[in-house]
Amino acid sequence: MKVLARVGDREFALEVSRDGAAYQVSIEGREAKAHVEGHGAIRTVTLDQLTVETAAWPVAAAGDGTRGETAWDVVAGGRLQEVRLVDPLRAGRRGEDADHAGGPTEVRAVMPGKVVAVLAAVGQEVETGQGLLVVEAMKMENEITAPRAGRVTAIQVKQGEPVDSGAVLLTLE
Amino acid sequence: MPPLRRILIANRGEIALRVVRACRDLGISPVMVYSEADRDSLPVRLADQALPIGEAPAAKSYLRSDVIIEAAIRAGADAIHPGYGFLAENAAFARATAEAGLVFIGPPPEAMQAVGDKVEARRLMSKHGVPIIPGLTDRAADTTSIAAFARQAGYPIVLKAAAGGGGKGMRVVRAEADLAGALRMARSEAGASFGDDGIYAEKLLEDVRHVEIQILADAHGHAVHLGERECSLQRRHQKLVEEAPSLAVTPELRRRMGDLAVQVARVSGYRNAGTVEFLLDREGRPYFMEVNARLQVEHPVTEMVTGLDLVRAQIAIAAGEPLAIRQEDLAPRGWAIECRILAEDPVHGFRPQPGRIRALRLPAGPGIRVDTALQEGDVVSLHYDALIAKLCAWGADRDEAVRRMLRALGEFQVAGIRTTIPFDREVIAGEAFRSGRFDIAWVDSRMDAIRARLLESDDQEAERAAVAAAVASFEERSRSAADASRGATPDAWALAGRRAQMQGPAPRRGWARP
Repeated sequence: MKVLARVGDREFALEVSRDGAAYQVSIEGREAKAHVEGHGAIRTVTLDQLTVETAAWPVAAAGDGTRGETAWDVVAGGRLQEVRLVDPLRAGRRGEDADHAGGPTEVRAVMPGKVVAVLAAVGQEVETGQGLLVVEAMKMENEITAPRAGRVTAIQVKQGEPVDSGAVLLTLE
Repeated sequence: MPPLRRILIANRGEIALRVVRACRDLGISPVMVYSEADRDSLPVRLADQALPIGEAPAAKSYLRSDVIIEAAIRAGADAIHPGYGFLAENAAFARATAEAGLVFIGPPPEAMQAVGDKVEARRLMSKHGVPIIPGLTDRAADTTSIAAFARQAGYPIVLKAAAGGGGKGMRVVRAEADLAGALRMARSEAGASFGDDGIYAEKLLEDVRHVEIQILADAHGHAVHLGERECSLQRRHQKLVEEAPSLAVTPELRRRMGDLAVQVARVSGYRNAGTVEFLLDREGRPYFMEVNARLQVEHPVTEMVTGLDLVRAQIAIAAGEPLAIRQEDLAPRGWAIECRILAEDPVHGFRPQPGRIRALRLPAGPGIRVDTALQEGDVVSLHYDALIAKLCAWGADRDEAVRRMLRALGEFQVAGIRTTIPFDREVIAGEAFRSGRFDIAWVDSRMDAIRARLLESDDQEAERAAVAAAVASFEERSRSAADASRGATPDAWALAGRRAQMQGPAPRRGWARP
């Protein structure tokens, strides 16, 4: 399996295949053997003779399914890292991604909740990080911010409306 | 009054389990009530009986006083323990419980009301010589009275809801120009949250600590205090880390604040376990803030340094027993720290993290106590509070407690959702916590730096995380490919899990052990 892994601003081209009970992993062309042991989501990962307990699980409703991207949370050594796995056949490298910036971006709900405020208006130009909506979940209000600068072309929800996880809230162009 | 034989627990999660355990330790039969979301929860499993009371939203289950009282009667309970939150400080519920011939394990409704209205409580305390935060002792009729007070005391001031709590209806005002707008917003928020839009104003005390005193008062006029808890580490008025004792409290100050707290209990007719919250300024002057008429989330740190079981004490007091402890025998032993483990993402503004717990390992070992009802496979629901566990560490001194806490945080693994564990490690290991130099504004003012530290990683860590995710993804694909080639549908457990993540557990038939 070939996959592109993005961790923060780092990127690794990986290839994973089975090798008996272990895995053969190619990391940016470097060959290594990985042992993954234990059951469930908390396991030991041995890579380059170093064994570290690692918890890994897929994140629901994150990532952009249309581009073959899945998001994983990985906890090792007390640190949480977000890993995005991208199918290299369906997505370009980061540089090419910038070309897509002109296209529409759908801002989605990351969890079910209720829209308590709509802070943006259709046609409005917004900056990266600017608040777009406030969604209440688990007794907490959460501001949904713009993932990039752009113009709001559609708002799919109204104040007071319940939203499901993954629902499109707003479209930016 | 005869001893209690069966107690109905009108709560959920870790605090319900805490009360189930206290009942067992006393030879009392615990009875649970549960919403549809909690049918399979640990306290329900460990109780003698469990009765359904409605749907997952609290308003349709844990807040339905009539249904809960009816369940208590049906189960043959002689008392109700409300835990904290939900109906714990609801005077009407306490009264209805008593009218149904059941014992309410908590303060009498009159005392609850006397301390529940913040303005009334301020007036009462002021009258009896308890120092209060400078401010109004009347509900503000309009901006004029507040502006007059603010001009004399100086800005910033804070507007608070008379019926308030939890930061709702609270607004900081730094200049007179902002007063009218802030008052309007505070009023509307207070009205929506408490059904009472009464507002009063206080001087905003900055660089102060939040220090609270635990009290116990019996029905025979005897009251003691169990020392203080330091609760200054808060984010937006939500406590995150607590400890007992406090580095800011000398034995002499402990005596003074303790005496004040006992006096607060006395003048308000308080009975049972309660907490008197104070702000403590840099000169060590305490100011009465409010009374929490219930068992507190952070009660375990007091239990660890006093050796007392507070829930057991609550039950004994409610059964009419006199307090068996004397003030002169009470002194804190060692040091205890609590971290509230929340289903929230500390790197994204403490965003809620509902979802299924895929795997779990709880810490243990000398000096460690974990209060949690969490089990593998449980779904953390959006309907309830995000507190999933309380991790407490005790040490002979503060250094030992800190090292044990760091050890336990390292052992604690939760897979499936993000938690505040990495945040706690960062705070507890930090210089400010080690030295004790922090106040109630510390977390909010340092959050950007803490967040940046949480996001740091080196090349090797990132590479290992990438490999771990890639292998897990590879395995998942192989599994689904194998399923497909066998023509098998995904197994029922996986389907149920997926469904549960979407909407909470699927309904099942109820059960009750005789």
